[in-house]
Amino acid sequence: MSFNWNPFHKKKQENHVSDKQKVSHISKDISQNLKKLLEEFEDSSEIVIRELNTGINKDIRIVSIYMDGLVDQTLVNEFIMESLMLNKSEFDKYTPKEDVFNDLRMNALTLSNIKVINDWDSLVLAILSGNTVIMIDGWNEVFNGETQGWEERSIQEPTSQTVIRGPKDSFTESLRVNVTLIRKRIKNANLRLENIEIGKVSRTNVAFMYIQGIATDELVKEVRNRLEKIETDSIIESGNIEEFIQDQTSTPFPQLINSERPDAAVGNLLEGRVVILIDGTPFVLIAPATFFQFFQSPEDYYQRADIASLLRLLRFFVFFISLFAPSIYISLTTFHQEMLPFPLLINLAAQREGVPFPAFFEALIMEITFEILREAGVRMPRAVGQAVSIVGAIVIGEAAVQAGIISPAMVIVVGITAISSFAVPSFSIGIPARILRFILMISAATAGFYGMTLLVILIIGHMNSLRSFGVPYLEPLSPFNLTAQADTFIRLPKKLEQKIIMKRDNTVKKANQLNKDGDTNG
Amino acid sequence: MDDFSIVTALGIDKAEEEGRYEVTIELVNPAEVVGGEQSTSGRASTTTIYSAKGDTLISAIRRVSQQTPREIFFPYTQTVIFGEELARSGIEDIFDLLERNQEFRSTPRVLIAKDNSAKNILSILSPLEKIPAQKLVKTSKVSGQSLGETLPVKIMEFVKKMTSDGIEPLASGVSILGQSEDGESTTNIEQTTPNSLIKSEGLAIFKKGKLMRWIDREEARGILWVINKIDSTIVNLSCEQKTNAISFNVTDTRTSLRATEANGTPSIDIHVKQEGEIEEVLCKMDISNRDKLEQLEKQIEDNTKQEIERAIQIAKEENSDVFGFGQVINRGNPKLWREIKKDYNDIFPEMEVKIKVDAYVMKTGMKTKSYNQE
Repeated sequence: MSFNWNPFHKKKQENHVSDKQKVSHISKDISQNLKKLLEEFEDSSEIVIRELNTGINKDIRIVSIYMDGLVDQTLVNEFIMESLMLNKSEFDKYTPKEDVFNDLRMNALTLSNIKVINDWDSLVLAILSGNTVIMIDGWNEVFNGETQGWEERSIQEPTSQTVIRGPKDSFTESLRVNVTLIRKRIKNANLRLENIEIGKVSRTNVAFMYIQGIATDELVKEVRNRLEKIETDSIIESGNIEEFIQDQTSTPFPQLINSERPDAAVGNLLEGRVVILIDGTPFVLIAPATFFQFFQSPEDYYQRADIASLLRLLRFFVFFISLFAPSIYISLTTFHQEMLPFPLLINLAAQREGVPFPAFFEALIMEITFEILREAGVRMPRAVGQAVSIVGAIVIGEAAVQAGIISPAMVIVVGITAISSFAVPSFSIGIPARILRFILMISAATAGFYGMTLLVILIIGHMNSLRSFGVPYLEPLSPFNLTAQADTFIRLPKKLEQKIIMKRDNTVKKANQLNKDGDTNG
Repeated sequence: MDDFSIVTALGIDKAEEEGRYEVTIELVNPAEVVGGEQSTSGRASTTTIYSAKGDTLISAIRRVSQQTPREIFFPYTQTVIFGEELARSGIEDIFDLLERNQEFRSTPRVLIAKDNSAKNILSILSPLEKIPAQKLVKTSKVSGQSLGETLPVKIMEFVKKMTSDGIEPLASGVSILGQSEDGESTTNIEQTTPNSLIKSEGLAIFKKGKLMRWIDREEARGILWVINKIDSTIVNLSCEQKTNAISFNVTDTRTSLRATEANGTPSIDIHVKQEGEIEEVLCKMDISNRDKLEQLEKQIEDNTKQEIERAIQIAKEENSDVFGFGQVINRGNPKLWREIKKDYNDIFPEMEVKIKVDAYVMKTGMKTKSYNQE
């Protein structure tokens, strides 16, 4: 591994510590250290302390400490205990007390990743991170052997962002595995990783990756700054980080992409974005994110360009439906009946006959019912999951129509809205649609298409004001970028896209050349 | 949406008492039209007729609300029907409401109830089409397209012609076949031969907003040839042995009108170009013979020419320029038009009209020989 796994040397940590206490050093007296440690851990049953004496005079006390469950027992047994024990006899014969530290480091410990630490705080963190600490009596420095290893979920298929054609692996809860999944896809030394520890209590390992030379320095700096500025007790999920580093809080629109797909992360890295990985969650954050990116599935790039383009257009249409369908229905039936074709009007009028609610309440009841079902479906224990679908079919469906409470057309509208909200590849962009749908319904019930238009103008204005790490949210539509259109609403075949980009680069070059000539001439 | 009733037809008749007009509106009963689950299936009629009287149209329409439980919704009015009596006494003023009110569209077709009142026409339930108003409009459209004797005009066109100089409006007629009382109940449409049916029939010639004369069949077609409104029609031709034994289907016809001037008097050149195919042959004629076909073409030309001449004669008798010759003159020679505009009423009946028809038989159908000829 070419990156530094251990987070101890990061300057970040010092900030945390300095809040409470000065950097406290490790005492030379091992008994004192052990006492302090036991005090700190309050006789935690998981802490394992193994002592042995060595040296010519058997006066060298060596203690190894680790947390049971956080370490890989095999590693500890084979590479720490065994090497200490095997070499013990050598030490017993030759090593004087003053050489033991270097001898141990140079000749004894067979574990590959061994570091020396000298402050108390790092020592505690090392133990809590699943490393094994080896203390030697008389030294105020200790060894820190990397022995992390605990039960982890293996790499499985993604559950929330599936594709038909494409890689089937997904990130896991382990930061280390996640980094590996990315790194094995980009064999390039310019792929950089930086570690940050966030959370005063949880001290969660957070890392961000970027490709030097593709990602701009400003972006990397901005990401680093924002991550470093986070002041919080704990980070459990990517969402915690997202809330801290997003540009604008008071908006329903997500400004960072989350993904559990390594290929999506890699694709974004290659496009110059930064990927933020958090230990303990399979979701990584990708910054910056623009509105249109949420409609891109990694599969777009694995499929033929024609079908990928059509599907992408379909997704925008689907987003439109999930946002507007109920409010359009409300507007048409309450205000703009004359916009309907005659046979359709007759049909709808016949359906509405006998329905006891105005269209708005009808829609509201159904939408809320659907939201209830959806929430129940997510929260419900798997075993009773079937009940949701059975009850759901009753309340949003035939029974509601037969009872005369809801018109059949409304069921269709709610149905298409519901299914549309799931057809968007990114779950997080479905959320603004979900929230704004209700507001749009209110505006439709108040002032029909006029009200909807006003609200849509407001929404677009708002979206235009958003930035994600300095990038305008509606880019490349606003500000308009012609060449970027090759991969926005549609995806041009790669060859064609490259041609366009090459042409653009040539024009830019030519223009620059002309400018230069002009300058020299003028 | 459940607060209003949709109007599909507006009938206007002359009233003797309680006001000037009797307005009849046809309201849809959506559940009956749609059928399916919402329907009470066949227990109620698909439409209901309400009428009321008033001095102005709107006052009569408002008076209808005494009988209807819901607000009346006009944008889907398919047709405006005038009773013959009213049409004869003049309908020039009536369009004011239809143009002024934003709920009315410009697309409803103008129909005239021939020898009847609009109210009676609207009362007839019809098979196939569930809404009588749609049946009326569709029938006159379809028959106009396949027969070429009627012309359902939109309100907008009608008013435009009525208010312009040098052209007079035309409107299609509808009449009742059978007893009108029999047509008012749903039993009428439960039979294979309904007791009473609506028929699209006749073309009404107007002059200054007054119905002047009904014309029908070939005479009506004569007018439509000139104003270029024939989609397709059947012309019957004769062969040596039999009269009217060959049917020619005109599939494409174009008419161009041109005004010429001689010594300050205008005249009109009509040039009709027809294309079509032989549809039916009931006699021994070798239609694979080009010469024979040319004879047929000559017959078609003569036939059409006669029809047009007859139509022009009738129009001249009524002094109603339904062809828009005045506008043709205006377009071709505006200076002349300005001079003769005032006296156009006197000029039109005397105007010289030259007719030229070119007919082409393009196809003879899927067989060449008739049964008789072997």
